[in-house]
Amino acid sequence: MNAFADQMSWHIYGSQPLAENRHINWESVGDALLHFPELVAQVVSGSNSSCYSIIDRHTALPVTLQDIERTGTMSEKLDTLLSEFSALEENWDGYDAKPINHFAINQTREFLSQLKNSIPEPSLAPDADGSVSIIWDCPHIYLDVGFDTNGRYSFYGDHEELGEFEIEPTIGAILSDQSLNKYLDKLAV
Amino acid sequence: MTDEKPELVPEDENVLRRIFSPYHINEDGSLKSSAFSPSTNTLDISVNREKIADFKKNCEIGRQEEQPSPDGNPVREKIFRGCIRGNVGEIHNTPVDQEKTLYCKVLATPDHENENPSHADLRLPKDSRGIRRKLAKIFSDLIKPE
Repeated sequence: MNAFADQMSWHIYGSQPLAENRHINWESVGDALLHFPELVAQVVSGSNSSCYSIIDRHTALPVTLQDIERTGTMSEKLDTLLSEFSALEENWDGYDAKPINHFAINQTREFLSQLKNSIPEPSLAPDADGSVSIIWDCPHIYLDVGFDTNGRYSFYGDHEELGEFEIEPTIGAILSDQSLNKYLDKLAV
Repeated sequence: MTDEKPELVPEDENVLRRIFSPYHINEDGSLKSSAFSPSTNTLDISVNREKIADFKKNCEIGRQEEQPSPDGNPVREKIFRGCIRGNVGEIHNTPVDQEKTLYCKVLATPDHENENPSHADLRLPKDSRGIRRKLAKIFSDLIKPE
């Protein structure tokens, strides 16, 4: 694919056109493909311009370049945030909050890395008791998942069809929780 | 704090909570529910009665409480971001569980030791993610200092 790079201008399928004469960095795309073998790049050539899209091999749906730049669901941005959380000291919120527990951070990393790529990126927040919250606040669904300092998970979901549901701190394999999976499935795009 | 049994704050009052952590605010200024996570071994969230200490006063106190990072690391600096506001009546009258049996209370707990007569505690019936979410919906987005 690198052979195309210096021959023509490109714009991203379904996105704003790139600046004139700007080429797709096929090196980056190649890296993404290498990292995510379930993705394929599709090039569509037209008379005046060409487009490319990245297709999820399983769903046959296009995903955006932004999605590609994420390291699965565990993006560099989220990874950096979790590193920041681990550096927070006592009273980081001004109200005697506890430092964020490393076990909670590791569990958050593991959870995010196991989610399907089709699930949008959540926001993360530290909690005053030293745990971590993973929050999806979308128009049709709200989901707040967290890991506490004792290795337990909890979640609260609110969806227009599923309604409200809450699991209080529980020990176990979080991704085996069928209740949670119902909400995660609703998040998937 | 005081040893006296705290009284409920009247429902026509508003309370303010000063916000320092950038991690509790979304990029659009809206509030994350984690802003209502209590510290270990307590179910109380500190707030201030606006009737006694108004927004401007809270901003003054917030700025006084700012602390630079000891090593220049921005993660370790304490910066006053603004306040969030909640109506006491709405807090007292909004059920925070699905069975509609649990409610939060706002208790007047003046902090005489630190000369803060406006101090109050937002007391949660229990700590849960659902309750935090409901409180986040009751309170305003971040009100930035002028």
